[in-house]
Amino acid sequence: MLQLRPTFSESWYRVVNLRPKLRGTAQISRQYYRGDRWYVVRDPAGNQFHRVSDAAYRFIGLLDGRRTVGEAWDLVGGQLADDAPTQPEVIQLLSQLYAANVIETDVPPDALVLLRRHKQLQKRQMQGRLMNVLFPRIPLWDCDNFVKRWLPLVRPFLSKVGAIAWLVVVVGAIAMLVPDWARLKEAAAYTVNIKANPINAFYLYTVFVLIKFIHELGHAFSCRRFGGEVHEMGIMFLVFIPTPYVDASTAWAFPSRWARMFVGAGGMIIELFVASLCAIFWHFATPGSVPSMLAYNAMLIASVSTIIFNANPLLRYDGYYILSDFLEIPNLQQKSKEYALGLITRHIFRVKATQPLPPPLQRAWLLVYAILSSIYRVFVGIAIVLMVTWTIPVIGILMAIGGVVTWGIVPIVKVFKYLTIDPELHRKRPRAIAFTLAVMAAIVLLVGVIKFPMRLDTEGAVEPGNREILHAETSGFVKQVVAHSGDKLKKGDPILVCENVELDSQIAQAQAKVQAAEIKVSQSRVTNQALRQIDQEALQNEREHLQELQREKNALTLRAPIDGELIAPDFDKDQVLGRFYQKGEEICRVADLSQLLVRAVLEQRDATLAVEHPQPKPGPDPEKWPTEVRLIGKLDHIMHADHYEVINAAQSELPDPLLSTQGGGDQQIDPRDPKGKKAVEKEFEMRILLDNPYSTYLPGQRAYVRVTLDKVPLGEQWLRRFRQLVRSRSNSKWL
Amino acid sequence: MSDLATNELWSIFDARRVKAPELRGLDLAMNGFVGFYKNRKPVLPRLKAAAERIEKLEPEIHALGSTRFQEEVAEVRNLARLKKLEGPALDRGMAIVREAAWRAVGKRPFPVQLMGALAMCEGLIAEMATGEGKTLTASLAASIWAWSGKPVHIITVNDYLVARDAELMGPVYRMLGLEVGHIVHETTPNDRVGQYRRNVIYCTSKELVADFLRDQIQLGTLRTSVQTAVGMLSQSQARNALMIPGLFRVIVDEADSLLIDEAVTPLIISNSPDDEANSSLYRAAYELAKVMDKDRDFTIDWTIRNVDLTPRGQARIDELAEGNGFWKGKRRREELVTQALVSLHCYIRDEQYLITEDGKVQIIDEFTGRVMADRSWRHGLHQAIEVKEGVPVTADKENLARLSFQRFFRQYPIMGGMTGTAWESAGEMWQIYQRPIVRIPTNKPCIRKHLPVRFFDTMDQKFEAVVQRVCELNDQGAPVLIGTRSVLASLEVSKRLDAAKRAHRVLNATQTKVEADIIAMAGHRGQITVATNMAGRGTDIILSRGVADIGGLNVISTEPHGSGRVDRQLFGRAARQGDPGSAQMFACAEDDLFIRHTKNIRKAWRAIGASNLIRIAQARAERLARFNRKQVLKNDDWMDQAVPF
Repeated sequence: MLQLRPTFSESWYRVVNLRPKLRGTAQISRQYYRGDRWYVVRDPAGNQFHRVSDAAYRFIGLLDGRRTVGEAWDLVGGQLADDAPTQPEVIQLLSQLYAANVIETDVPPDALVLLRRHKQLQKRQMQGRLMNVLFPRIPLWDCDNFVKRWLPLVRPFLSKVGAIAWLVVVVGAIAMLVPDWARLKEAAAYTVNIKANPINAFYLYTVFVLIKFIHELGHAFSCRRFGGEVHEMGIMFLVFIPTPYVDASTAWAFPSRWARMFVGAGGMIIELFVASLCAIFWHFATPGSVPSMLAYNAMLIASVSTIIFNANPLLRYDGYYILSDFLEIPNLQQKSKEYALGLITRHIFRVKATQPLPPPLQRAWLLVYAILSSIYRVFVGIAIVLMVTWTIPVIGILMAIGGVVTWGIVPIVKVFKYLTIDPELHRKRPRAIAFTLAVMAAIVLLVGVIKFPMRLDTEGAVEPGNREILHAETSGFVKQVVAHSGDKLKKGDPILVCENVELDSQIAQAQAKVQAAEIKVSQSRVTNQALRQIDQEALQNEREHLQELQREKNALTLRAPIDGELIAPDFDKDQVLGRFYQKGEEICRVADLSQLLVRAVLEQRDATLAVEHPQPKPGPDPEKWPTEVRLIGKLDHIMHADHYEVINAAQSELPDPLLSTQGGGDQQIDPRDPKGKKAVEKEFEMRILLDNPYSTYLPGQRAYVRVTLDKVPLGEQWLRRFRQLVRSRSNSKWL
Repeated sequence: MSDLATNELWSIFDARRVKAPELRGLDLAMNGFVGFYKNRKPVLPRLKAAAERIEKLEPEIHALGSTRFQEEVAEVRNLARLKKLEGPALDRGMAIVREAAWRAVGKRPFPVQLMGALAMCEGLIAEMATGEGKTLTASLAASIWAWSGKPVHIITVNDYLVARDAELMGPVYRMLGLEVGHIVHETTPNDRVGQYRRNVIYCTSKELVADFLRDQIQLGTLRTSVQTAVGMLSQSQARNALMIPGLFRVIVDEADSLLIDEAVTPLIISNSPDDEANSSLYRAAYELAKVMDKDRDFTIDWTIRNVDLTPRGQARIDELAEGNGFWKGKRRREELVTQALVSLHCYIRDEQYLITEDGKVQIIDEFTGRVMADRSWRHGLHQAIEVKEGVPVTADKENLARLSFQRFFRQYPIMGGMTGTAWESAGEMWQIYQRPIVRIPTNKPCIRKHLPVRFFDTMDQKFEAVVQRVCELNDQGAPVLIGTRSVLASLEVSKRLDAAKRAHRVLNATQTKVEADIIAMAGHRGQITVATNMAGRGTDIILSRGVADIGGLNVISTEPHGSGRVDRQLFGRAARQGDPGSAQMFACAEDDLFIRHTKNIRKAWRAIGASNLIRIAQARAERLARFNRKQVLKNDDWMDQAVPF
């Protein structure tokens, strides 16, 4: 019979004649959850807990070592009817109590089974320790005596008077800080920037340990305040950072949930108090002094870390236990997970519920918590892995592998096992497998197969596609201006004519020398053969010299080296005529505007993308080329280029000052750079050549660039992003 | 201390031990690989070579005089006690046993029987076809083991076979200096103590496990070996009370049905408290159940023979039960009504149970078709059926001890087995018992004709066709054996044969005493025998003169069984030891197997193909059965861990 709670068990005979009883040492306390009475049975030696329902407790209560289990069951059945534990429940209960070591019986248990159980326990502990190698706990100190001794001193604070005092101090501190907000923010930036302020890293950590120690003492004293023992204090490693901890789990047995919540909140209460005191101190301390800095650190840690970590119920710290007690849902995390998974198995797989559902009001809490906490956990996990990878890459990779195993492989194996062999799915297996496969297929399709466009957006400065700067080859005075700025020139067209009188006379001199040499040659031809040879060479030299000079003279007439537009803003002014140009001096430019060059900046991650990613192939239709440029002067017109080029070296200088914030662009400029071209972060340059027939568009303006790369599945995009994220802060060559 | 007393003490350490924990993860995978390898390891050539060596020893041993032969026996026996019976000595031992079989009962084991016996001596499960002489094979292996001084249990399927085999093989054992004992249901407890202390004991699994459980109850809280040993040494009366001196070696006949199919059938020792108060409760629940509407108030899950109440049904019960003082509570009430519904709709008289003349409900084992005389269903169901049939309601029995066969047989340190069909369950056999299987070839090639499956839409058509076919064969004078799955079906066939005026004999669970005789005659000319599955198993059907010429025995199965192995066991009754014979399956879409396991596709048998449909249904049924067996094993293991008192 697949009853929700079958009355009988086939194995009942195994327990029916036992005469068990609770151990004398077992401690029992009563708790109320949502109006229902529960009992917590605790084994003080092993600090193990077991929570039993009222009905189960009544049953246990009847076990006095003289009654048999069968007799007790009959008695409870007579009293409670439907609520009485069923036979399978009794067996379960006995086994759990036995496991919690709070029950003893007239029959000695099977020693071999005990031995094996012990070995299993050891194995589990060992596994737990191995699994927890990232967050190991090292117990150091039994602080119970200490806490007991000092409790009288602390007790007045843990009272109504203490609460009022606490409130006064905290509210006072906040009131004091509010007008100081600006200074607070400024100090925060300075404190956190460890590069600029390395010594503070040391201060921060010292203060952190101190504050957390006080925090743990807060738990310990508040636990002791309600009578719970606190036997273990030690150090645990939170992402490799040694942090104090205290074991106040005895509080779980407290009857009042408010007391349990107070113990959970005890650490934060005291931290906030310390934070307030430090805030007040900081307010009055000399700015910049070491005590002020320490006080600020303490304030920051005791408030921010407390609120972000300890109070956050999505992580399993204080906030979680407080919430769990407040909602009166013990094991909130596990229950919410079970409930959320149960929703799937019950409604989608149509598996019958084997356990009673939680009451309706709880369900909403459970579902919300399940969704939020799982998202948050993955998020925090990734953040931690990234942080560690940036600082210690090797451990970061190990952690990432661990993360993939615990969040990826283990759940997959579990799901696989569930789908293939779990008895719960009997007869529903095809349905469950079909659904799971469908979901998996959808995910694979979405992440791995369907390609989504990938875009790069950036800004660039427009320059002419090809331009020549004309320099004076020979010094000279401007004699005549042939072309004017803006004129369209063909290659070889004259622009400017200069004259150089000295050159002219040199030419005349040289001509004379050539004539003289010629004469000498004709003479020596007759007289002396040997001499003639020498003269011939001299003539040759003179002729070459003359030619050189003549070339220089020709160069005095400036000609356009390429087809293009003359850019010579100076020419229109009259003073150019007669002006002297030194050899090598820039005179004007000829720019070819039939093509435009856009020089854009790329952030590193985009550059990697652009370099690694195969360039999209330009199709036959220029209107659909994937590289798009919009000029700032004509934003509604999209120009297309067939390819782009990435200069594969990071530069700290911007290609053009236009791109800086001063020039209207987005790039931050290092204010210390006099030229105004040095960017804060190193950038890569992307060059795009655009056709500009009829020279419609002008250089010298900014342009928006968008490159639509080939479509790539989301998974690949994310992976690339993630790798870039890892690389961006790490100097390791491995990644 | 005497030999047996020492044995008893040792046995405590040896046999009453805590079983190895269930394997998990990589251990399980590794174990699977080992099993895969061991099941495929070619042991056959080695066995064959050994059998040939033993054959060569025959002239020498055969020539020995009676005194000299006894000396040889004593010599080999001494070697066995020293655990030195291996290699040539084992060959010689086996040759001596073989000779003893010849001298004592005039049987000369074939080489294949020697191979089977050698395989079992190595702790393998020997797959031997039906009719290959498993009784003799078992006694060969048992003799070798028994020489070592520790008792050997030979498990057969029923009391008739126990007595028969013990008697048949007794002379052989005696010639080998061994005492043979046997336990049947009627054996008195005092007698049992003596029987169990003999060298070779024939018994059924039921008697053996029951005695073992009684010993366990006797030992009470002494669970562990050390406790038991100390207890036995200190309390002499406890020692005397124990029946079974220990579990050392066992040879299981029909190993697959006992070790696999019936593995989880628990054997329960229970007492009946005088508790009459409940009967009115069951009656009230039954009255309530009668007014519930199918599909609206409850749904039936045929696969597991269960009923689920709908919310409407639950409300209906609440409403109807209003004002009735004796309902203990909603949950118990629903439980009782559900049980009444199950008894009303899922259990059919003469299929799952029958009513004896003195008004008792007796369970019919769905697997063997046999009456389980002192078995009762789980809490309440038995009573619900008693109410339904209007017979006196018995009190719910109280379990005192419970043990499933699989847990019991796992306690033997050494186990051998024989079966006709084991290969399919090799994986499971390895997983649970760590025993590999070896297929022993037949002595003569099998010439059985398998006729194609005949499939019909309705029961009526099927039985009509069966009768028609039987008449055809009967006209030719050929003997026919018709196997049915349930008593009800056998009665149906019988009714129709009566209508067709064909003389026939019906063998079903109600006639256990004469079934061996009837089955032995099934091979006679013109004989028609209707039998539930497995009735009279272990008995050879010998063909009468001239029958071989007209095709031998024809076996007709009227309904496929959940396990294909069982079908093949039935078919194996035809064409034994090289005789001719035929086998044919008749099935229809209304058969229980298809209703339970291929509910949606059974109507489409023409498209799927009859034999495919059977294969699908059997695969599903076997998967379910395998799964249930695993669950029971797991649950038992959990109990051991969780409540180790």
